[in-house]
Amino acid sequence: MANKPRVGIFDFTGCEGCELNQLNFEDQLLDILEHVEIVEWREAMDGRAESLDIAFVEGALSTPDCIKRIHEIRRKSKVLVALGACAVQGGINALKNIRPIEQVREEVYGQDKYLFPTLPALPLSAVVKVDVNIRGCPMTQLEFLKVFTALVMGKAPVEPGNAVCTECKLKDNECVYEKGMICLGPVTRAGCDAQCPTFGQYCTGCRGLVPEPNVEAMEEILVAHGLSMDDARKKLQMFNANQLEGVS
Amino acid sequence: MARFYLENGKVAAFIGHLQQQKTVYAPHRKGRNAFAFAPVDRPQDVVLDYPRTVSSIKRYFLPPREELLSFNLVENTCEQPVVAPLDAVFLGVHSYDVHAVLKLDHNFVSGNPERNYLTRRQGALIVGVGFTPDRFHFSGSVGVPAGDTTGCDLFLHPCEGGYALEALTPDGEGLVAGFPLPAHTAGLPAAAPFHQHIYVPQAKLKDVLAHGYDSEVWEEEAEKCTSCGTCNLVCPTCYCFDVEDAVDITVTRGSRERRWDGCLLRSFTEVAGGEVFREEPAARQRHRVFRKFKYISDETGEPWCVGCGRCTASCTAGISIVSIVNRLVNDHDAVKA
Amino acid sequence: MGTNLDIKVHHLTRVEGHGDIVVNMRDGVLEKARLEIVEAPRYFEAMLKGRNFHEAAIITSRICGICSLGHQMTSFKATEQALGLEVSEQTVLLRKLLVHGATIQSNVLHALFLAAPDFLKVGSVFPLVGTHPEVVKAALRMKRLANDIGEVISGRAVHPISCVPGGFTQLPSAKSLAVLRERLEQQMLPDLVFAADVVATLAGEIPDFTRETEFISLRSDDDYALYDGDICSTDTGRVPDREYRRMSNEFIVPHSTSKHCKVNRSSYMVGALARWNNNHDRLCPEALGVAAKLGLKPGCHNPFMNTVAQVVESVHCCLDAMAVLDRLLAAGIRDEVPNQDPTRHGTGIGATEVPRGILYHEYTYDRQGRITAANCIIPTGQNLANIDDDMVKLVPEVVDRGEAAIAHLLEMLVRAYDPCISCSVHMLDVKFTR
Repeated sequence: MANKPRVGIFDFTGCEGCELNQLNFEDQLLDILEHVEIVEWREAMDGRAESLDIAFVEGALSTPDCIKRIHEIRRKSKVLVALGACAVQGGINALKNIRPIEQVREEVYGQDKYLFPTLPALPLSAVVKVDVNIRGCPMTQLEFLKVFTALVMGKAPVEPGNAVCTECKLKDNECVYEKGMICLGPVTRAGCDAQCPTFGQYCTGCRGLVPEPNVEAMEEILVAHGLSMDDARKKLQMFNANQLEGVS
Repeated sequence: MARFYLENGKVAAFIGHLQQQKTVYAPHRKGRNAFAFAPVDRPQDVVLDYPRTVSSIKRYFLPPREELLSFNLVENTCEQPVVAPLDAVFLGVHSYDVHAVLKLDHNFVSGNPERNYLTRRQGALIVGVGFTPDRFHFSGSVGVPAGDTTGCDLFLHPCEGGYALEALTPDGEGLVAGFPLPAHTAGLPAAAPFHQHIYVPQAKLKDVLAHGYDSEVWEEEAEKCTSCGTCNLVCPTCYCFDVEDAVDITVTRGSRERRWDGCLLRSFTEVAGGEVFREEPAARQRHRVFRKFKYISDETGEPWCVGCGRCTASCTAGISIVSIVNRLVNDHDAVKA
Repeated sequence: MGTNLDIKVHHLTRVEGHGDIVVNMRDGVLEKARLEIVEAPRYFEAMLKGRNFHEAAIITSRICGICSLGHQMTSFKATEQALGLEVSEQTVLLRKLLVHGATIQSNVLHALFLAAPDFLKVGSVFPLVGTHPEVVKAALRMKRLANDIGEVISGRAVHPISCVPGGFTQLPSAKSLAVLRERLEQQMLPDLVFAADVVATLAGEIPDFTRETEFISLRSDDDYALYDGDICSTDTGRVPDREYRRMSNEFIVPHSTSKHCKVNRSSYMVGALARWNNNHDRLCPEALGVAAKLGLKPGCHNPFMNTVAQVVESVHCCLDAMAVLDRLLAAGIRDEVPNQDPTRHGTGIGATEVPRGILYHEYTYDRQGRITAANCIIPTGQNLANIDDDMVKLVPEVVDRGEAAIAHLLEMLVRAYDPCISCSVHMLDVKFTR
């Protein structure tokens, strides 16, 4: 290919597990490099780039410096891809948003709290335009490859909108509720191939809520299966504190 | 045709006998409390006394995910995968699931015959088994008693100490041949009663549903519903699918995949341009029930629900198709009275 | 007139997380030489407060993607101790396998993808695809297999799925374990030997630098301690894990969002080199052979040799994983349900060797099994003071080389510790008041 798309990979507040999953493309890494030129990726290489065709951005925005940097990345990138739950929804970081931010800062830093500026943990889309979401905590390699291929071909990737339940049913999985556990599959976006239920765990909602989620119905289901309303809300908040509060 | 006595102690050996002739699919334990059809490896792992499987044997004729064609973008070519008759025995199928397959046969023969499904269906033999209805089964209300042998080649009627094995077709007799069994001469035990009933027969449901189109029940049930689509995907007579093209990482090859879809899912009703033609969950809920008791049924005169109870048993929100239909019956009767 | 130096490496590359290197020298007097941690704090305590014991590891594993398995294991041990949840021998063996897989994957990633480019004088692993394809392919194969251990046993290598407090929600089949056993012997071992040979050719590039320091790691009587053991210092010997606070002594410094640690000196080192110095006598002969080939000797005080120690222990991890698999396969896999019925409540401590060093989690649970207090001490945080001390000694030794070369050497130094900066700013040390 004459002009390979120039790709950058960036990280904000998060665990960098999604980036690690990219380094874990043992079987496809060499194929990926056939199609693109990676010009900026701090976790794996030296160097900075002036302009990019595709920016993959991991992590939530949680400091004034993050806001400044995401604007810079947006300015120099044609396509901006939010990578993983932290970038797409704020992820687990957004749990700190539930309580007053000043109280949280004081608990952690005490009188030194002003040394460390912080904001509520925000998804990228709260600050800049995001073109594509790759969801999950961590993102799945399967979905990354699908989106990556679509972008290399110049097509708009399809974002899954169904519930995780659909993928369990296609795999003939035992329903997690059947085991006497609870599960957020009914309101969580599919695309992970129901990875957690397939391995005997419940869905924690890491891929975000489905479009137009019936949150009240989900809470009722959790309560009907033995949770208090308070615990039901906590379960739903784990990865979706922002979406439940209307931040997206 | 003949009826043999298959005592419990010989069941595993009988399954082994079937395995020597064809691939055998039968119910197995799956996870902690569920059951699913799977190819038999060890006969002793087969479970014949089970309430219901997660999904029906439909998945072997209409796979949940299926490649319809593969293509090469460089050479601009495509080819369809070879689909072969299954040539298998489905052992331990409940009567309602056999009826469901017969209904799918009808759906896939009508209009454009569905080549892949119909090809796989060829050569598939069915060994039915009786069951004890639990709190979700209601197949008796839609014309399918637990001991109904329609569509089976062999049928295992549970009886004292084992099964009365009834041969129903020459193929079925062929499966038993070479496995010596005594004749079963006693009568068959009376069928266990159902605990769930739809109040009226299909002939009357036609009017009931027409009357219930604007019922409040749709909105009430939709409030409890997360639109997860489980009810569609576990239904043995649902056959809707979605098709998606995917290109692999080399950007030279790809494939077209078909996978199960369902009318409760919002994305199912989303079409090109982003238009959602059945936006309200209540309308989707109504559509599902009408697909089972009205749209196809008005043409065929039969309910297109087989009473397996899967949609209700699998619904985490506890939405019951029997309760919805009976509620409509009551509303209808109250107005007509 | 003495030398002036003004070095600032902003957002150091090829490390996990965000850190800056800052060096100032005026007229030959070193004013400042240190690693500044600028990673955004995460406020994990806000996430854990009031959470059920089932959720502790799901949340703490998100402290770091690279170390997610290590955080999970340590979290389970703390939770199980606090709530009195006994686990089966099978659970312990499967966990040890997971630890071996995560250690190999992390060590290979660091040695061949993040550190090797320095010795081959390139900016990343990507140019090596063209110049050293066989090395890159071997590294990818090893990482794949190491990750497959995680995927087979726990569903996923990053943020594992099926391991939970008390056991596993789902168990791997004997068949899949037998395949792993076969692949470890047929693929991993030869690839590791090959990697060791590659590292041997680069050994001349490893900087010759020594600073005496204290090394702390786990130590156990019967194996090369990774999953469990006592806390052991090269200065003062073994103490039980309940003394972990005394053996880490966190303190706040103004230039870092991560806390620093010290015990018997101004700093100490954790990680593969600490494990080597404390536990080389517990390594299998094959690993010791590789150590001899690579020139790694007991009592090594050169932090750049940490990468070599990682390669050495990977060989041991591979062979021990094969031995663990043999035990599991001989006994057969039993279908067990996780033990999640607490028999008490209160405080529990977990201490585990994760790739970057010793990791501590401590939780306090109330009667309902909800978290009331939590503390984690992270390997990279423990190494930060040691890194600063190394810089202070190293810079004057190489002061004649010029700013660019010094900056590069300091980057190599920091990278040799394989730091995980996301982990180090967990800021998880809070007593909740109700």
